[in-house]
Amino acid sequence: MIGPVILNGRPDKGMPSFKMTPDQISDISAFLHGRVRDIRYRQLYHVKEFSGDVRAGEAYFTQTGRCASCHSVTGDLNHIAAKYEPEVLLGRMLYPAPRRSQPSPRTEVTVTVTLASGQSFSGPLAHLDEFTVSMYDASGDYHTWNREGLAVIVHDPLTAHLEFLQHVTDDEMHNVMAYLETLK
Amino acid sequence: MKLRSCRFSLLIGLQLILRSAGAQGLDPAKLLKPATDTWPSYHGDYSGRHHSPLSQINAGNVKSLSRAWVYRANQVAIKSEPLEVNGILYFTVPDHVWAVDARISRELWHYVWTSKGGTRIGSRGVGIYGNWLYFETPDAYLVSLNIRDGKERWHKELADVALEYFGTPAPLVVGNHILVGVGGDSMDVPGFLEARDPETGDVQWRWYTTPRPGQPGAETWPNPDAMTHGGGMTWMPGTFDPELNLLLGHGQS
Repeated sequence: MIGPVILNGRPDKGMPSFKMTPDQISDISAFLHGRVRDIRYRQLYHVKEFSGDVRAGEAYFTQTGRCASCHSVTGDLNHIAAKYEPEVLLGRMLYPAPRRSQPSPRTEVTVTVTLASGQSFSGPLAHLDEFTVSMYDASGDYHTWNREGLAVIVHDPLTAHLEFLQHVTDDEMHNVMAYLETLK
Repeated sequence: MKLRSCRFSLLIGLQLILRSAGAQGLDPAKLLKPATDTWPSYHGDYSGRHHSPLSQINAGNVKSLSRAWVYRANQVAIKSEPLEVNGILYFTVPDHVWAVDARISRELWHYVWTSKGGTRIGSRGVGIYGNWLYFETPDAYLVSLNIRDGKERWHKELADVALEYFGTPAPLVVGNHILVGVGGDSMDVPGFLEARDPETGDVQWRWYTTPRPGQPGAETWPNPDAMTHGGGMTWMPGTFDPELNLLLGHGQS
């Protein structure tokens, strides 16, 4: 639809014609559709102002939210606001980074499996469903078991983030963001 | 859980009750009397019967088999016998080896060898000794991998691919011997069986399937040239009698 407009222009509206190839017109069309999609899904929004209270956010960070039990504003979060755009930072706080192919101790899910015999194995979780648990032990050996009769305890370092998302109020979220934005 | 366990067992045609996996490796001594929750060599045990004494799957319920999962290798047809050790399946096609979680079809690793020539007619699988895995390549190499991660430990040439030898059988582990054979049907090269050292891959002994001059049976051949070009390819793993310490039947030899 946009092709003839680009090709012929709209002289009565002041738009000149552009003698482009069909491939070029197709590319421009794809770009325009992409922009429409971005707007529809709010991909072009930018946070410009923070309504939260910095001091309340700091209090939440260090006390109520227990963020400081894993994070430090002088350690892993040092200059965090300079590293990420506000909306990216907010997204990472609410939906923590996906597990990477190179596991990190900060995000890796581990499991402790105790057999009926009492023998116990701990290490990175490879798979878990209602029937099967699979993991790597400290020596790097892979194990897979039928879960029946086993005690399986999963340790997910991101559990606090998942719980945070379920319980955090809008005010608390805005306050924490306002506090994090001071960490330039 | 019982239902799922049953369905899984049906899939791979064995009644496996996969319990605890200790280390990933396999104690060679266990090959003499394999546990019923494992299929640790090409034939399942040295007898070559390909039989499991388990009875959960029987004539009455075999019709209820259903698919638990599918793993697609995206290669040529799988002709190997999957070994199952500590809940993990190890299988091959020419130039490829996989380790896959038998319960859930999760790929643990995939090793790729690049053959220089050779015949890709089929690969019958792997042999396992301790924490090491062995397989033969289309261009007649024996390759040893770490069973944990599929990393190559070494590779050794078994025969000259220029003479149209190639590797097909699953290596057979007997004690501290890795028994390997060769294919090579299209030329009149001599077939042989070799024992290789599981640690170094070096030759421990080689036995030709046709006699050399002076050996028993040589007198049945018309001349020395004929007997040293007699074929007799050892293209499939054989069997072993522990009581008599006797190897039997590798390929058509």
